[in-house]
Amino acid sequence: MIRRSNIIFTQGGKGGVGKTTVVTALTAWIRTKGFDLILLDFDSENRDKSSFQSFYPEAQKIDIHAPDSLDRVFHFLEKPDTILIADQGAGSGGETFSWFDRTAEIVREFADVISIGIVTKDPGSVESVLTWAYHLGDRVRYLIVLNELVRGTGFDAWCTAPQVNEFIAAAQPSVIAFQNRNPDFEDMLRANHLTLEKVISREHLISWFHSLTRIVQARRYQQEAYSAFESASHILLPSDKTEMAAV
Amino acid sequence: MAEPARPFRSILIGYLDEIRRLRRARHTWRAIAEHLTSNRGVKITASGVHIFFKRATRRKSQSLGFDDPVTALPADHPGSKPAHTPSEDQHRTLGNQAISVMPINQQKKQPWFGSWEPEQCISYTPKE
Repeated sequence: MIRRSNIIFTQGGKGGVGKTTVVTALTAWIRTKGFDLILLDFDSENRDKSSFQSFYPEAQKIDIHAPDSLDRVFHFLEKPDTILIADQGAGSGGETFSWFDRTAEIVREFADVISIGIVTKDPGSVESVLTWAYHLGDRVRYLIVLNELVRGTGFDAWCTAPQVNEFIAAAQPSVIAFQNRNPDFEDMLRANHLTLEKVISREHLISWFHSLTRIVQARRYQQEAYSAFESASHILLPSDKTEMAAV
Repeated sequence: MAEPARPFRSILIGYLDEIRRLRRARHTWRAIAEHLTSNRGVKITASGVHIFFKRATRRKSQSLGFDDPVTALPADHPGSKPAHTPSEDQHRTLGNQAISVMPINQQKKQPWFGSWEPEQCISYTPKE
């Protein structure tokens, strides 16, 4: 009997909603659980700052527009019980939808697929999540992150649009929230390719992050993120479901 | 003298377009059969619908010599027109069906939550 693998990917819809911030925090959290991770960076247009690979150099950069690029996922899933995290860049929907239409049935045999949608106060982010859900259908499980970039901005479109209620009723997504994120702090993290873990452990030479205030802020962000992911651990970590090994 | 029996005509013939539309929307034969039973009052099994549809949409082979009216036109009757051209045949066969140039496996997806589609904006109430 083998455990199933997990494929976790961000929905590459609207840009600037915090996809890489979320997936970077998620990577750190899953590592605390003792799982080996395979990291893929499909954000081919973002080659320097703020790409997934800039935070985690071990993340493999793959051009999603290259032929069969998404098929490389199968290579990494040779070993069962794997968690594969893929960060997608904005505008990667066409390739992903098409690939998923072709391979969803095959992937389903040995892996659970979790799609992470990020919602901000911008209604466009909600439309993006719904668009991805429209195409991916009920073949994946959904984690929705309400990412409050500025305190008190709210999520009017997410909370009041009837289309969202229909999506929630059909997909039963797990919904978590990141509240009160400080844009300046996040910008500095991105500009210096720093993860919260590096700030907390002071494994860097950036003096701006050496103050106790910012270390405490990093710890608070980390705690909030870890607590949120913990509440969604039932879909983020490989299930205890067992499958008969392939004959 | 007894009237000759009328040729068999399936009760499903009136639902041919509807069945075709449902198949293009990727519904299973079982789902279509249940739809016909519950909404149209036609009690039919999934295999019954399948067999009917296969037969109804099969291209009938034409009698020998009737396959191409234009080339079948006798050379010694230059003034007479063929009964109909192949393109007219095609129009006649397809009738008023909506013709799609997209392969059926690449046609638009059906919404699985509500009726929202990506081309539409969402409706929401912004708070003051």
